[in-house]
Amino acid sequence: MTGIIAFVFRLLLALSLLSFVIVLFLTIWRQLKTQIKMISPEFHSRINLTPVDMDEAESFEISQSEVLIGRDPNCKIHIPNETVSALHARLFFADQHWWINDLSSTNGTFLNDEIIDRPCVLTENDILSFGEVKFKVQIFSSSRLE
Amino acid sequence: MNLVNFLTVNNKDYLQSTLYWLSGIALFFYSIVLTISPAVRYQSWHVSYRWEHWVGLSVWAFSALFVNKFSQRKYKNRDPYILPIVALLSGIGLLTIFRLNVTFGFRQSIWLLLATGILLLGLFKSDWFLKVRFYKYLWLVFGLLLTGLTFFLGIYPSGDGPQLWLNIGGVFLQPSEPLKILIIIYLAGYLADQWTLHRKIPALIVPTLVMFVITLLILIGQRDLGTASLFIALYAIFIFLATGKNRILLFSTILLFAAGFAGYHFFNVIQIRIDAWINPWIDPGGKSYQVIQSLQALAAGKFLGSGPGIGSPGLVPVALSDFIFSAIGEELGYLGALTIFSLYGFLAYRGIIIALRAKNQYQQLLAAGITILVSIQALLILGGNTRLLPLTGVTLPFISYGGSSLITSYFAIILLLWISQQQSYQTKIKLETKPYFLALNGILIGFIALSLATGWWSIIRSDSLLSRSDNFRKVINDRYVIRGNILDRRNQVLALTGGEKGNYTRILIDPSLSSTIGYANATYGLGGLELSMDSYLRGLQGLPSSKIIYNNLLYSQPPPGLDIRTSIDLSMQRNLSTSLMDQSGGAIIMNANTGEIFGIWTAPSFDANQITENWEKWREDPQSPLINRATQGSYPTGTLLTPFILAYYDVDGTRLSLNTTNDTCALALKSNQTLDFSVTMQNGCQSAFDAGLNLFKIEDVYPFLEKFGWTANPPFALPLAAPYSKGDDLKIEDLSKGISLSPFQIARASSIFSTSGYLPEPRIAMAVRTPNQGWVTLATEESVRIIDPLQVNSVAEQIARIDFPAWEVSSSAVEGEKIVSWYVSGTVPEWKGTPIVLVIVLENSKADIAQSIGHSLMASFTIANP
Repeated sequence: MTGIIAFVFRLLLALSLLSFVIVLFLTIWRQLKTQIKMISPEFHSRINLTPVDMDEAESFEISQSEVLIGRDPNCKIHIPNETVSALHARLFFADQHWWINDLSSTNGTFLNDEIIDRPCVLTENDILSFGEVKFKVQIFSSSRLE
Repeated sequence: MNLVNFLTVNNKDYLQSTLYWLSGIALFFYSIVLTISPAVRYQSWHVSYRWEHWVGLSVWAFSALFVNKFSQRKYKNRDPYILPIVALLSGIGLLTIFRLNVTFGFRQSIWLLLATGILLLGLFKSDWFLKVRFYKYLWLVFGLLLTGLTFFLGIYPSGDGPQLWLNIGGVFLQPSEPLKILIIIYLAGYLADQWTLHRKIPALIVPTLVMFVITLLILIGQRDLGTASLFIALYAIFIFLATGKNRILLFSTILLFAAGFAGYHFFNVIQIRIDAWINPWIDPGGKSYQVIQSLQALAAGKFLGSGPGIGSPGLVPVALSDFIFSAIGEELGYLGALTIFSLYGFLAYRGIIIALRAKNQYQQLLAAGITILVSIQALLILGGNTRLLPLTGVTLPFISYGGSSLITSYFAIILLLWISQQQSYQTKIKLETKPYFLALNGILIGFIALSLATGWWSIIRSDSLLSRSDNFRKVINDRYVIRGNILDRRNQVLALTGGEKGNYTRILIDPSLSSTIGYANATYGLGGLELSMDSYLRGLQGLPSSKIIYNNLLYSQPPPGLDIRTSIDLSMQRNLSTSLMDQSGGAIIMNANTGEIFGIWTAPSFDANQITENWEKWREDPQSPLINRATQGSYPTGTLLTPFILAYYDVDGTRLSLNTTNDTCALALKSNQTLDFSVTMQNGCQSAFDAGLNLFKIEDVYPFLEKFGWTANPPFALPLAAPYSKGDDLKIEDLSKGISLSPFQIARASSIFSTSGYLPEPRIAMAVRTPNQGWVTLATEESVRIIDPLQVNSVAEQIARIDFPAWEVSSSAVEGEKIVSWYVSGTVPEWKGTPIVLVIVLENSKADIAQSIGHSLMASFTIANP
């Protein structure tokens, strides 16, 4: 009897170890798949951030799967503005959607004037604010390169 | 799939928390099994449970909670896989250490707390990491100084061993551990500064010299092959990553082999390690003891493992540090081993990804260096544990016991996490990423090879490894699982298991049977029937295989052993041993028809119940009391063969001419006896033997021995004296001196005089008591008639006694300075009761003593078995 009860717990132990490894495998597998999809010519999604109320500023067109937004010159979306943190936010493509996530910035990231504290999905014509800088979101998706 | 969908949306915090929860759940179940493991071992709920490791689990949970929370708050952009993987690895390590040794478990909990402190400090004070690069030379010199100190002040904390530790106020520090990470910082800083600017070979001279000196110091000064090869491999891969030149790998492989070769020739320790690796089976008790015990632990684990606390991983030496993987392999099985390999594999993958996304060249090299350090160290020691590589005494990162190692590893991890926090997503040139992916592939191939090797030992070679005599799990199980009893032919107990569960010992009821029934001792192993019937007595055979598999799976123990019934008759045995008290020699009493052995006596002998106290004394005794003289002893037969020669040639002895002048006889002829052939034959006179020998033709010698079964041993449960073979090339002169035979061989052959020519197949183990079918008789072979009944009965008639329904022959021979006296007797062929043969051999006693003891024994045995 003691053996059977211990056996049940041993199975649960094996199962939980296994599920840890499986979660590792699956999430990394999904990421790899998305990345391969992104660089393959079969699928293409671009996001365009157009500055709002700032005529002289250029707009950003992104076709990578993941970019950083911030005042740091290393950032792909480089915004030289005092209210923008060095590493302000992360913009990434996953599961057929573009997402935005704040990176503990000083002045916060806002999606349609609401502060975000977790990754949020972006849709067409959303307004993104980093500090005082505002962008309008445009998404171009196509299943085939044209 | 909902969970996975949710997890893949790159919600790092959620993914990290989920992984933390899963590892917490796994460790929770581990702790539960470890708590109830004594109940499994004793198969009872009334035991004292193990609770200490819950302290360790609490420390782990506390550490996990804070690290998870603050890493989410402070390092938003970090890699989410690193921390949970490290947490699970160190959790498994901590609990395994608790399982092996509670004291060390508490110490390791303190180390884990300190390591967590380092991690949290790194999370809050990440600017400090910028200083790390700035003072790189200072760190290097500091690390080298500390390591250099071990040459003068080095000690080994637990007794005798490599002096790699420093004692700092009672806390032991192994400076070669921090040195590893300091060297990585130095190399990353130096190469990022120098190589990227100049890209010329001379830039590599300084670090190469530094590494060369360090390696040499470690190899020569500390004879630490593990750390030395770790440094060589680390440096080679470092230069390869920085320069991207393939020839570096080739060059360093040659260097590594050269270092190994030099080490092999100049240092004994290294030679022992390499010999033990190449051929461990030659010296399993000495040089390769560790490796073989480690492989047996893996084999004992099989697929699912015995379960925490249920196996016996403490049998592997240094299970706490160098061989902790074997302990995990035994208790968590192949599945657990694969988990460990996957975790290290993922860690390497994430590490290389972090390196490729690093902000600058320095961080890129640093991240890659840390990843490669952890991976190579794990590969080296895991390879040593599974005999994929020679054994190197490095620790298994995050898992092995040791504060220096754990804190260094955690420091490396917080550096890696810091680099991942600052990662950028710039596209890299393919040429630059190529060496990194090559290194990653190499590491992953290493872990795949480890998985295959572990599978080979724990699944394919499992049974043959476990059946080795140096697998002490059997001995441990003997203390917890009751061994079958050994009974006599009337089901009276001869040997039984006594004591309490957890401390079972074997008791032999009649010590005169020590050589026959044998012994089952934890230290000195098995002997006699305990050895030959071991698989039944231990419950490994005779039971339905489902029952055996079930018990193994649930308890890692065999089912309770089965009782064995022997042919021994306890009252006859006691009669035999009391009658022959004070004599030395051997005796055997046997059923002439079936070959069942009723009693065996041998002297001088030993007492199986006192084997632990007296083993060494008995083993060195020139009288060799551990030998069973009745079955193994070889005594010169003298004139004993006369009746056999007559039976073989079918000659009427009375027609042979006797030369009785100067005759010598084993038994002095009485004055009233007529000197006829049968009297001289019975009394063992040389004249009768010579008359018989005159019949011999040289080509008959071997067929004669073959006929009476002296050229081949029958299958028997006890060891027997070696039979004669054709190669011995016996001549008639050898026969005339009297060949040497054992009482067992004589008893079997002389059965023909009681059974009209049948040669029995002697047996002592009769039946086994199975739970389902009751007593099951063990397979036997029929007696074979080897001689014509008329022929043999006429000889039996000539040696028949007048006063008793039995025949008898005596003989006397000299061996060196020793007189050997034989008395062989048996019931006559017409005897209606159980046919019996009795053989007595006495050393240094006259034949008449043997005869008088034999007479009284025959009288009592025939009454006992009418």
